[in-house]
Parts: sequence; C-alpha cells; structure tokens
Amino acid sequence: MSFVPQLNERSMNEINFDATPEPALPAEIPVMSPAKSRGTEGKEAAKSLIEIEDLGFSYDLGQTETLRNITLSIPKGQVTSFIGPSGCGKSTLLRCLNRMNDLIDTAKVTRGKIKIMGQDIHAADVDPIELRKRVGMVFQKYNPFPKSIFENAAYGMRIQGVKSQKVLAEAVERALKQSALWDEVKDRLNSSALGLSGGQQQRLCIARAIAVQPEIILMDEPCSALDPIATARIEELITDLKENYTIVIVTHNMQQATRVSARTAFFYLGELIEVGPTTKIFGNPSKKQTEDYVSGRFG
Amino acid sequence: MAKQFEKRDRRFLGIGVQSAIKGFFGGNALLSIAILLLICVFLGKEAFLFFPDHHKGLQLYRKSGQEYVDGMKRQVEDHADLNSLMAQAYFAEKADIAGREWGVVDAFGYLVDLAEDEGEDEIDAWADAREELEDAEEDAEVKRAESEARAAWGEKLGEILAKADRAEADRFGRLEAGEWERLKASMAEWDPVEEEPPAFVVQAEKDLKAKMGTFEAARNAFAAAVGPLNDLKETLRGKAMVVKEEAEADLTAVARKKALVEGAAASTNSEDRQRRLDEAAAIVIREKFPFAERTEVFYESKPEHARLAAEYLVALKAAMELVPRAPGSKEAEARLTQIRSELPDVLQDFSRNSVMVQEWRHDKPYGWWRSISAFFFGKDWVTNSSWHDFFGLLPLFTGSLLISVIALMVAVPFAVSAAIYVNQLARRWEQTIIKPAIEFVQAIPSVVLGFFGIMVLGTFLRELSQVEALSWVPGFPMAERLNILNAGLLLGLMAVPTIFTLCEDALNNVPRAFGEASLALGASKLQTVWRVIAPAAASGILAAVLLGFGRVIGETMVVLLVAGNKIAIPDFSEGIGVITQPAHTMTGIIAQETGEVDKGSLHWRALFMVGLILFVISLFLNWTAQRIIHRFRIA
Amino acid sequence: MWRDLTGYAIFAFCTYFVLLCAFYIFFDITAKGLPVLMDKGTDFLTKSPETLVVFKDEADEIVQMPMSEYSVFRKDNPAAVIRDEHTHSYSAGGIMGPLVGTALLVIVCMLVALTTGVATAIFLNEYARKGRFLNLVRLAIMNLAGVPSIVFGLFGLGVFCLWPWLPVLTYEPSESAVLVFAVPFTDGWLSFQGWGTSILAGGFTLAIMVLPVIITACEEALKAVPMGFREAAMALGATKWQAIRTAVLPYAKPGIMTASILGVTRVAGETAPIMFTAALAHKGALPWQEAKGSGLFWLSDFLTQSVQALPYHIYTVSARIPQSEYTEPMQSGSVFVFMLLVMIFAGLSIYLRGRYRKNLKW
Repeated sequence: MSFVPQLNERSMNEINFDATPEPALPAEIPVMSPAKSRGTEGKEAAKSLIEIEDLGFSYDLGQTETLRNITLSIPKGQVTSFIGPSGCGKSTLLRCLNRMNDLIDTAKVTRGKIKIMGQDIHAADVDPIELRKRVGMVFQKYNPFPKSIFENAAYGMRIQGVKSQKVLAEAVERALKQSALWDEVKDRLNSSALGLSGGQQQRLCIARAIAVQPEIILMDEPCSALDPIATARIEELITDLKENYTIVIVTHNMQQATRVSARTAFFYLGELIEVGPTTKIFGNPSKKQTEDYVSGRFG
Repeated sequence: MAKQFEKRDRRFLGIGVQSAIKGFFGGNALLSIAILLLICVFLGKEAFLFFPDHHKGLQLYRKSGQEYVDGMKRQVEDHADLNSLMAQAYFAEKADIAGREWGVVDAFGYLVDLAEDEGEDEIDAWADAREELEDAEEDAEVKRAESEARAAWGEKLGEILAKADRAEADRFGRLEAGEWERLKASMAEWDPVEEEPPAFVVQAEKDLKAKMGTFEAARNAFAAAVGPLNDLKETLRGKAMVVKEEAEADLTAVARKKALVEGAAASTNSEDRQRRLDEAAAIVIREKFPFAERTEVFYESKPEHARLAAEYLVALKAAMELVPRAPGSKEAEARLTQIRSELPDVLQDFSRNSVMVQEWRHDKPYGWWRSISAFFFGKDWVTNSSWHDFFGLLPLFTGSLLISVIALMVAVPFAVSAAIYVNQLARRWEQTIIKPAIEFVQAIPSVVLGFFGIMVLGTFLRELSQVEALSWVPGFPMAERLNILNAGLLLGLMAVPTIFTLCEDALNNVPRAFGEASLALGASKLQTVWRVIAPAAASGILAAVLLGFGRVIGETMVVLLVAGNKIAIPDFSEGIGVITQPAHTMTGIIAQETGEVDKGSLHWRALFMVGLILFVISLFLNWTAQRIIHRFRIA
Repeated sequence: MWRDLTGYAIFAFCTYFVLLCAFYIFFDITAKGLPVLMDKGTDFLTKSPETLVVFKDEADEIVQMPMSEYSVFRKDNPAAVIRDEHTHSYSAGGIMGPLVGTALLVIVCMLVALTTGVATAIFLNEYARKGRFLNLVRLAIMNLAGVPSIVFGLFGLGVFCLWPWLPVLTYEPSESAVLVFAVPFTDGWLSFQGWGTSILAGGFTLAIMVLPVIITACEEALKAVPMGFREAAMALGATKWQAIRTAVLPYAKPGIMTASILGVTRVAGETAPIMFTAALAHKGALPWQEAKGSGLFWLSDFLTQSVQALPYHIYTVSARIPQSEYTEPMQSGSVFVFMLLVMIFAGLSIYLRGRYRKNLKW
C-alpha cells in the first residue's frame, strides 16, 4: 500500500476534526487510517517502514567511523528499542533517521543508505525539513520552550504555517490527550511550560512532537532525566502511542526496553550486533556480546 | 508512488530562500572584514601618497636654499639656548650680589613710570612753563606760572608717591629696610622734564655697575657673538623664501594661466576680461625653474659664512674668558657650569652644521630613504608655517609613548591587584559590588575625565608640586598644569577596567584544581595566589596589559585636553622629571588638526599617515595579545 | 600570618583605591554641576548654547545676559550705560542642541550597528561552519575592537564624509557630485555626492566603532539559548531560519537588549569619531528646523545635517574657548548632565545583564 492514499485520509481526518467538536480518542476509534492498516499488518511479518542498508557514519568527515555496516529494518507500528553501552552509536543512528546530524558541520554518511517509506532520505532532492516533519523526535533532556503549554504544543503546527486558532486548538488538545497530559494541564494551557514537573515537561515534548502527526517518533533516552514514577508514565504513554505511530526508542534501561518494545536492536562499538524480537534478545540472545550485555556483565 | 520529503523550498532566481537568508547573515559578517580592509585602503591610500609629496617638498626645501639657511639657523638657535642660560646666570648673580642696588633701580623705574603716567598733565604743564620761562626769564608772570606749575607737580608727586605700591615696585623684595622710604624721599630731587635721576639712585646704579660690570660685559659679548651670523642668516632667509615661493608658483603656473584665460572668456565685463588677460599674460611659463641661477647667491655667501663662523668661535671664546671664574651666586655658578659642560657639544654641532652649510648643493639629489626617515625620525612637527612644513613623527610618538607608559605603570599594579583580589580573595558580596563598580569606571566618558584633569587634577598636582617638602621629587615644582603626568594618571584610571576585566577572565580560566591542589598541600590562600594561580594566569595577564596599552595609546580626548599639546620632544635631561612637561600625542594631533586641513594636502596626508601608524600599532598589539592567549592557553 | 594579612590588605587597598578615585570624580563633577542645573532649571535642558555677554551697568553691578536677550535689551534701552562689556562664547543658554545631536547620532548609530551586529552574531553563532572564513571574521572583529576611536574618525571622514559615491536625495545637487539621477515624479535628484559632515556620517562611523561590542554581546546572548531549543524546533520540521526566528531570537532578546544598551553607553561617550564626521561647535538651529523638502527628501536632508554633540560641546567649552569664571557654569553643567546620561545607560546595561544572567534558568 502506498502512502499517498494514507496522506489523503489523514488530511480528510483533519477536515473531520473541524466538523467533530470532540475528536474521538485513538484508543476507542482508530482515528488515523495508518494505525488501522498497521493493526492489520502488524500481526503478520511487519512491513518495514525504515530500511537501513549497510550504513556507515562519521562525525569527522570520514576519518573515523562512528557507525559501521548497519543494516536494519524497522517495522511499522511497533516500538523498536536501541540498546547498548554508552558510545555504541545508538543515539547517532537515531539522529541519522531524521537527519538531525546535518546540524553538525563535520558529520557525514560515509556509505550505505537509509530508506524511509521507500525513499532514500539522503537523496539530493530530499528536503530534511520535510523529512523531519514526518519523523518527530523527543530528546533526552526535556526541552520545552519557555512559552505557554499551548504554544509549546502548537509550535510545530505554527511552523508549518497553520494560522487558524481553531485548528491549532484542536490539534493541541488532541496531542495533549494522546500524550496523556490533557487532564493535568487543560486548565492552565496558557501558563508557562517551565512550571510543569519534569515528567510533565517531557510528556509535553512528546505532545509537541505528535501534534504535527508524524509517521515515526524517535525517542532519545526520553526517561533518563526523570524519576521512576515519571518514567512509568512515559512508558505507559509509549505503549499507548504505538497504536498510532512507529516508535524508535534509545534506552539505557534494559527493563524499559523489555517493557515497551516489541523489537530490540543491540549495538556495540558502532556496529549492530543483533536485532530481533525483544523477548528473544533478552531471553535467548544468539550472540555472546548481547548476552553479556543484557545480563549486566558489562555496560 | 509519489516522492517523499520532496523539497518545497521556494526559490527565486535560482537561489533558495534559506540560502538567501544565510547569505544575508554571512554578508553582514563579511562586513567586519570589509571594514577592516576599507580602513587599510582609505588610510593607506592617503598615507602612501604622503611619501612622494613629502619627498617633493623636501627636494624643494633643498633646491630653494632653505636647507642651506636652516643650517645657519640651527647654529644661531643653538647659540640662543646657551645665551638664555647665560642670561639666567647673569640675573641670578645680579640678584644675589647686587640685589639691593638692582631693587633700587627697578623701584625707581616703577616710580618713574607711575609718575609719568599719572602726572602726565602736570609734567607737561611744568615743561611748557619752563620753556616759556627760558624765553622770557624776567617776566614775573611767567615766573609765577612756572613756580605754580612746579608746585602743582610737587603736589601731584606727593599724591603719586602716596599711592605707589611697594609690592608692585619691589616685586622680588630686594629693597632693604628703610630704602623704600629713602627712595620716595629722593624722588623730590627727580626732574621729570630733564629726567635726571636723584643722587640716591645714581649711586645705586654706580654700585650696580661696579659689581656686575664684568659679567655684564661678558654677557653682552656672549650675546653679540652670533650677531653677524644671524644677520647673514636673516638676509639669506628672505632670499630663500622668495625662491621657494616663486618655484611653488611655477608649479601651478600652467593651471593658473588656464583658469585666468577661461575666466576671461566667460567674463562679460570687458574691463574685467582685460584685467584677467593681462594677469594671464604676466604669468611666465617656464619649462624648468632656474634653481641654479636663483641659488647662486647662496653659493656666493659660502665664504662669508665660513668667515663669520670662524669669527663666531673666536668671539665666543673671548666672551667665555670674560665670564667671572667665581661668581658669588650658587645659581649662577650652576648655570655657568652647565654652559661649560654643554659647550663642547654645541661647538661640535656648530662645526657639523658649518660643514653641512659649506657642502650644501641645491642639485644634490634628496634620497628616498632620507625623506622617509625624515618622517619617522624627524624631530620637528611644524605646520602652517610660511617657511617650510616639517612632518616629523618623533615628538608625537615620544609623547604618546611616555603618556602610555606612565598610564600603564599606574594602571597595571592596581588593575592586576584588584583582579586578584576580586577573583581570589574577596568575599562574595564584595565581588557583586566591585565588578559592576569597575564597569562603571569604564563607562566614564573620556571627555569627562579630560575635563576633570583640567579643572581638578591639574591644579591639585601643581599645588602639590609646589609644596616645599616635596621639592626633592624630580620635576617638581611643575611649570605646567597640563602635562604628561596628569594625562598619564587619568589614562591609567581609564585603563584599569580594561586590564581588570581581562585579568579576571585570565584568572577565571585557571582550573580550580590548581588552586585546590595547592591549598590541600597546606599553602595559605595568598601563597596559592602568588605561586600557583598568578603564574598560571601570567600569559592572560600579559595579554591584558598589551590590550590595555593599545587602549591607552589610542585614547584621544584625555590627551587632547590634558597633555598640554606642546609639539616638542620632552627634555629628558632632567631624567624622570620629564613627566612634568607638556607634550603632544599622535591621537591628539589628528584630533586637533584634521578639522582644519585641506583635503589632499600634504598636511592632511601626514595626519592620515599618523592614523595609519596608530592603526598598525593597535593591530600589532591586538594580534600579539591574541597570540599570547592562544599559545599559552591551558588546555 | 601577618604577612598574609599585609598581602591581603595591599590587594584590597588597590581595589578600593581605584573605586575611590572614580567615586571622587563622580562626586566632584556632581558637586559642581548639580548646583548649575538647579540654578538654571529646565532652561539648561531646553535652550541651545549661545554667547554670554557680561557688562557693568550704571550702578557698577555686573550683569550677565545671553546674546539674544542682550540685543533686545540694547534696542529697548539705547541709553543704557554699559561698561566693561565682554563676551564668552557658548556660555549662556543651555545644552538642547548638543543633547538632541547626541541623541540623533546614537539613534542612527544603533539602528545601523544593531542590524549588522545582530545579523553577524546570528551568522557566527548559528550558520557559520568552522573554517577559514569564520576564523577570518573573528580575527577581523577582534582587531576592529582594538582600533583607536580617532582612527575610526579618520576613516569615517574619508569614507562617509568625503567619498563621493554615497547617495543623497536633494533638490540641489552639489557641484562635486559624481553621478546625478532625476527622481521621477519629483523635481529632486538622487545625487552621489557623499554625506558630508552629517548625522549620517557620524552615526555610521560610531556604528562601525561599536560593532565589535554589539557582535560579541549578541553572540553571548545567542550562546545562552540552549541547543535543545534549536534541536526541538528543527526536529519538528522547522527550517533553519524558522528555528532561529521562533526558538532562538525570542529567548536571546533580553540579551540583545542588554547589548544594545551597552552599545549606547559606549557610543554616547565617544568624542573622537564624531569630531570631524558629524559635530560642529556652533549650530544655530536644530536639525529638523533646517531640513527642507518633504517625505524622503526631508529625511535625507535631515540626516545630512551636521549637529552639535554633547561630548564635543564639552570639549569646545573646556578647551577651545578662553576660560573664565563666566564659562564655568556651562562647563560644569554640561559635564554633569553628560556624565549622568552615560552613567544611567551604563547602570541600566549592568543591571539588565545581571538580571538577565540570573534569570537564565532553562
């Protein structure tokens, strides 16, 4: 199935929002058709949404490779975890997926390619801006803007030129509901986001990312700066969100990987060691290094 | 399948909006480079056009014979320096050994002036009456009138004497007790018509002559020694001036003629047209100015100069013989010793100048190197002169340098100490007060500091320097209120914040571990600062001092207002006391003269050249400071 | 122990001595200037400088009058006894002209300096890649910061006043114009004749001088905005410029404000760069009273007027006219007002920066 009709359906959904005063919660009615299609496909051999082929990546114009020979496919509609010891390249790979590494002057893809929805994202005519609109990202350190909660959630829409207050309000409400923050903040949408607790701020960041309705959400250790309770809320949220989005999460916390993800990829020293269903990686890894790592012998 | 993530960047003329925005910002950044280059170009252009013009000017200076005359002028001027020392010695001696007599003569002079001034009518009346009396001696009427006039004068004299101010008459307090009264009493003898001094004064004059006669003769002989040479110089000077003016007029002759002819053509008034045409016809256009012919007079005067120079040496020697060996006054003795010690140098200069004069040839080519060094090492900056403009950097550079050095000597200890104190020793609340306070100091406008220097500091320093107990300080008492020291102190205050801030940064950059390691070994806080932290920050502190130096040498308003603006190399003979003299500076001269100079003139270009030198100095200091910081940065 | 104490005392003495000197200067100038201001009242701020006439009237009383008042007085009382009359330039009236001139120079300067300064800072901090160009720009900025202000004055004189390739709009092009275009639909001309001694030339000269200060301070403000803001914006599909505009500049704004006030402090206190580019010792009318034309022509004429400026006025009254007791009130008053103005801006910039640094909590 091509993506074009899905996009159409999505824009129709937006129109529907205009008509429906209270948009249905995604849990009850799959609002977006991608989710529906994921639902049907997810059970079978998941169709891969991201294809990484023999990727090599360097931070210093190719002198040393931070990532080597990464070949990996990430299925649609699932949560995939990247695990591995510090410096193994998992965050780097994540940032390759929406070309955030472009912001670093000397970063360079040395070989291989990444295809998202079938499109090589490093092709000359690909606009990283357009890519990032579809591949959202949540960062390790929650970074809401020092604006109101509403403005934070609406930021992405505003960037894309949405001016209508009504559309914005609805999108914000939906995003906040999806990120399970609505009930906590609905009475103070206009107060500063910096007044929220850490966990709330991170959930606001997630809301900000999903407000523009990306296909994919990349999460770079989203809980590392949070306390255990807030972490639990985020994990719950991730579980909810996977209904609608493809999520790739980098985590240090192996329990977190087992709790939230369907598939896990283990990286070590810039190479992909093993990838597979989370239960297999943690229960019965096929590689020695993986076993050593998941059993806490190093890392 | 439609392409994903396709570029949506709007483009205009093939340039993306994003790259256009980036280009805009980059262009602004480029501006700073462009400005720096433009400064180089604009200053450089004017400045480097300076040298050819300057060279030409100096060539004309030689060709017109001005150089020849200036050779003699230097001889005369050197003598004048000695002569003023001689005069000082003479007056010191006079005051010391014949003070009373001098006082009497002076006071008498004052009284005469006063009487002639105030009693003018009476004196005239009496004079007239006496004249009439001479013609008609027997006429009783006339006789009576004469005696009336005399009485009137006598009365007036009494009035005048009552009014006479002793302090004014005897300003130096030379009169002895009772002499003022005696002098006033003797004034009755004074005949205002014949102007015969009273016997009392005559006696004083006689005594004065007896005591000072030889010295006076020596002094007069000394002063007169250079007379003939000076006369020759003056005659030739006028001639050289004419040659120069004509030669300069020749340079513009073609242009002037053309302008006059054009003006005549445009003129509607026939009279005016004729006048212009006549004027134009009067302008002779010569292929080449006949310097050889016009300077013949100088060649002809060479033998005379040689003769006069020889005579001068003889006369000088004779005059020195006349000078008393053992003068009564210490001051006079000191001056005479000074003359004797300077004499060999002066004579050496004299013979060197003689050689120069004798060897002068108008057609000797003027070397490029000489004209360039005449700018960089020239000792005179003389402009707007009818004779010849000299553009010598040395007096300005010396002034700038002296003032900057003093400023740094004041500022560095204070600024570095303050930085160490604030960074290492002060309590927290002190830091939060002192740092902004010092920034406040930085914000004081320089013209305000200059004003303070004129109004307060100058007066204070001069009064301080006149305190008896401080007379041992070199240069005290200071003659000028506005001088190097005053400017240096104010600039020092100005430099403190710059040096302080940079030093503080340097101290901040010293890793905490250094200090902690030292403290952990049992060193005291001060030892740690002194042995560990300050050395580690030394390169930063050095860079701060260099940048402070750059700030000080480039400062304009304070030196313009306070340095005294005397264009001369300060006299270093007094050692450190030189700092109490006035000076001019490179920045000051630009500020003072640029506004009043024609664009494109030699003077204008000279000022731009000075600006270029300032620019180069500041670049050099900046660059060196950056190199130091870069090189010794602690990783 | 006592050695430590002496050392400590010496360091403390050096620090406080400097502050004491500066404080004494403030005190002295205030003590002399404040009474003048009190005495003359608002007239001092709302009148322009004029010549002071001092004479003795029939009762041998010394009378002081501004020139304008004096001429009226003479006309009204032709028979008045006037003895020992003498005049003192610039010693009567107030400092309206210089104040206005300084304000205009500062405004033009800050408009120019802030635009280029902020743009340069954005380039350096957001766009520039490490490399030769960036190093060159930084080197240029650092060196520009050390150039003496009088050299900027010479440069401004050469470029902004005398270089003929700078355009003005005028009804009467100068004879020395190098290129003249008729402006359609008006009877005016776009004339390339240089700016002459003018607000524009002075403002640009000052702007170039203050540029390094503004750039450095703006860069500091931009650096203080966390990287996370840019990343978050970019990750949401913002273009680089959108990210800068919406996620960087709003949070750098207080810092940029501080930078601009710091710039004002620097610029307002400078004399050397405007001595030959903008300032005149005497100017009868205020710039808007002399500007002719309408619309852009008026603006052009307005901006190419020369002005009096407060620091230059101080230089004139304290060093270029003969000094006497009658010139002193003008000197002290001007210096006091000037110092007060600059100090207010300096204080504001220090305060704002302190507050701004404290409030950085993201």
